[in-house]
Amino acid sequence: MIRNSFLALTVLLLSYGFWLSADFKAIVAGISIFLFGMMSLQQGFKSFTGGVLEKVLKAITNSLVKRLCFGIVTTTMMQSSSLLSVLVISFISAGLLDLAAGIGIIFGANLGTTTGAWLVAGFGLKVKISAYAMPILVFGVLFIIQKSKNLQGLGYILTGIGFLFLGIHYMKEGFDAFKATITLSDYAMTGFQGLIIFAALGVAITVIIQSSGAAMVLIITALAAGQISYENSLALAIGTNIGTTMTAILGSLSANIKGKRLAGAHLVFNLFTSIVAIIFLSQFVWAVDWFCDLVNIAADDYTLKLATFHTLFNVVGIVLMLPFVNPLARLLERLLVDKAGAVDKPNFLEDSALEYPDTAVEAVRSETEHLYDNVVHIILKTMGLHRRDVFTDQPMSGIVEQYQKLPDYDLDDAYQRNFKGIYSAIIHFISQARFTWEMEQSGRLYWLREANLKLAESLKGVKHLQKNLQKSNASQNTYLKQEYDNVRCQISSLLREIELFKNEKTVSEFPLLSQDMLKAQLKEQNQQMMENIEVLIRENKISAEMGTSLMNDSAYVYDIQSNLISMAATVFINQSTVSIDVEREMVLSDSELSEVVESSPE
Amino acid sequence: MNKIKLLSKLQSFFDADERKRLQSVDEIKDVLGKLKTKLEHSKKSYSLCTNEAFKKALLLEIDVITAQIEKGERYLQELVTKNDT
Repeated sequence: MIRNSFLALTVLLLSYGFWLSADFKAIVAGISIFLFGMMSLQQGFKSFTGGVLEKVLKAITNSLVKRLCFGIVTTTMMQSSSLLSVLVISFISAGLLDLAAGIGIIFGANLGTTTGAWLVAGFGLKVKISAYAMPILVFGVLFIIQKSKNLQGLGYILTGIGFLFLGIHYMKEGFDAFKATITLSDYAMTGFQGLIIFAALGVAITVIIQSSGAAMVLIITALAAGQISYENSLALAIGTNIGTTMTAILGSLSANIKGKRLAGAHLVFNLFTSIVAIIFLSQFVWAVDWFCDLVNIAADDYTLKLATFHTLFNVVGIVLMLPFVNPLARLLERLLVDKAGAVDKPNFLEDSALEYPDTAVEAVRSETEHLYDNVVHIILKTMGLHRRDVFTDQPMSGIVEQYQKLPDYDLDDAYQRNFKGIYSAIIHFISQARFTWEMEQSGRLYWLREANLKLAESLKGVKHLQKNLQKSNASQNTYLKQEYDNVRCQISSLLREIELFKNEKTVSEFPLLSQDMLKAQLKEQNQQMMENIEVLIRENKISAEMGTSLMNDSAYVYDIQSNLISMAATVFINQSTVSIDVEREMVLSDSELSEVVESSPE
Repeated sequence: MNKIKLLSKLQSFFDADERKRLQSVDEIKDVLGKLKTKLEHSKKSYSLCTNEAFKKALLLEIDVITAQIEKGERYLQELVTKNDT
């Protein structure tokens, strides 16, 4: 909602600006081209690295200096820290990196973003870079249309650089032309008031552009055109440092808790650095002058002085914050606790139960039931359905009809929260117990372990299915949608059947044999679905590509369902039923069931 | 002859495997009997049913039970022949 309103407001303001001034149009076009160049550069590095970043990241986890350098170098090359942030979050989530190590890399990335200002101030504004942009773009596009992935990657990098140059050129031209109509430097402000107002302006620009690198380029080009004063440009640079955390925070809203913690660290670091820069601004200005004098940068070369200032206060921030990386990580882990979606823990597995074979078996059975409930939750959420509706007597087709929109459900996150921990605990518990007892309990534990494995397999199937369920949900093809609604209907109907069985509302004289009927129905449904798909393709109601996806998915649906039935047969059937051993001998195998279904007339 | 039969019964009584086999034979006979009753019931329902969808489901049920009975009878046969050998 907030994002949509923000977007609408931005579009309105831009439209008004375009109507007011043609030069404003050139500046904004420059920013857009620059941002597009950054995206292209990232795309190029993504396809070009092919896991190199991951390999390097794995190798540098042992040293803070290495992490900092990695952050600096990677961000310098890609001219954006967002791709690196995503990579770091995924590494932290996978447990390959701890939060403190991630913070180190993010600190480095922050410093890496300041190199953009150096490139623009030192090179971009001194030469006519648009002259380089054109041939670079031509070569870039030429490489992009090649088949080789590496050449394509190189092509994206070149077009990225080309667009960055072109963007800088347009911004520069825009500001130069702008000078003829409006002189922004007339609005320059001095003193503490000016510092705060321009810092706030820097925040606003960065939040709107969503990139501190691009905002810095804008500030440098405006400074080069004499549209803003050097003093105000320093305040704007401080503002961009705060503004970039807003984009990180906005991005982390949809991220998991690890992403939120990393964004929190980013916010703390940038706020702290900016406050230090504001408080000690005059000392920083003196240090910049001293440094520029030392390296022979002209006293009136304000763009390079701004780049120096930008780097300097970030370096000071890193130096001051480095000793506090570990305490900061601990603080964030304590403050940002995943309350709503805390990782589910086992309820029944106590070490003391290992002493008593029957108790241990019952503990594992109860825990598996707990795990099954979580799996049901995940499956229903993926299909956009709710327990409160599915486990009633309402017709399933009506329920599916009622919930047409599928939510953007993070299945991987749910797997980590609600499945992985309990599943691992069960497997660990069984491995501790099963070889020490007499056969009966050992055998039972073996089957329970298999049941857990079936649950994991079901979730794997759901994961495969989710992608196409989402796709079909957005599709305009009603036939395709109908088929996927049938899929939702079939899976949820089975969950309802199992629930009845689980709560012993369906009492069967031969619980194991009655499962054969369910399995046969599944086979028949699957066969029916295949025939439907063939008809839909033949009648051109769906494309062959859609059809093949559906066929693959029907196999997943069948796997999900048969795994759930096998699991239910182990977990929910009373194994002390008199005839259970005989029933086990009479249960039909998969091939026998196939024969029955195939021979059954339609 | 009666003595031989009696001895054989006594031997069976003290042989745990044999006892289990006999128990399984009894159980399977019981299960098969009940399945056959269920099959008859399903066949009767099928002949009276007018709804096509239900008829289809009943037909599948009949086929599944028939296959289970056949498998059960084969298993019973195996158990019986095990004793003969």
